[in-house]
Amino acid sequence: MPPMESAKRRSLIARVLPRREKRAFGAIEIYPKRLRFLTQNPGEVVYILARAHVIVNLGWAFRLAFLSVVPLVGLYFMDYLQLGIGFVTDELIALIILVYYLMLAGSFIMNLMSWYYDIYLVTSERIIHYDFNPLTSYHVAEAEIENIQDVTQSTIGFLPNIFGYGDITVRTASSKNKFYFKAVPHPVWFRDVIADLSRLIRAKEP
Amino acid sequence: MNNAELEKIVLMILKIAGIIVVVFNAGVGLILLRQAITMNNVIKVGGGILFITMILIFLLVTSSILLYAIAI
Repeated sequence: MPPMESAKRRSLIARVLPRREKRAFGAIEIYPKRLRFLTQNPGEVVYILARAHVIVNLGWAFRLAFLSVVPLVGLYFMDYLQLGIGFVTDELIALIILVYYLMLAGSFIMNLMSWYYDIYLVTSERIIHYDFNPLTSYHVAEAEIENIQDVTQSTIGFLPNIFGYGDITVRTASSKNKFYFKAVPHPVWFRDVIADLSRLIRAKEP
Repeated sequence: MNNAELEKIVLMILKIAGIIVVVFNAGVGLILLRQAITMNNVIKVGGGILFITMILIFLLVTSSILLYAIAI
């Protein structure tokens, strides 16, 4: 059981994370409101909730936007060029289009859920990663924050550099255990905070 | 087999294919609903209820389309 937070430690942590705030369109929440998780211990404080930067959704969002325009353009050209399959009724065309948009809607919900529930938590005791794969599974991994040995940050690529997000790798005392925070916003700040929190929590009580 | 009969068969195949795809979508929706409820229990974040509502609307629309596909 990790030591309870003393007033001194609390004030030191308050220097690292001074107030409740949201950053990068809610992809990072400091002292998140109304957040509870199933395995939360009594007295365990959630310092940071993070998920991948909103911009990582751009790929599938554009794809879906493009696909949603395709039938409209198709219908327009069919009408314009007077093309048509005589025996296919209007009701059937309506059904095909409805089914098509239904599939797009399903894909939209799946992609959004996949991003939304891919969550990283930094608490007063541990770091936790919830990895959600729609229709298949979810994985939960955690590591004691006291055991963090080093934190590496990398920002590679055009979009990450423009929008300011990157990957963080956290290595713990057990050499096998590595934590990847993928595409988190403000990676420099994030790396610094994790390293500082780990040091503070590891430090012996005065 | 004359043309009219062939067209009838093609229409029937298209309709059945549509119904199968809609049923498949309903299955996807149900699995997603189950997962959203599980995730909402595992970790309570603001959007949990939003997702459940979204999936319920998706299922409602799916069932309407299924009824339409059967009706035409």
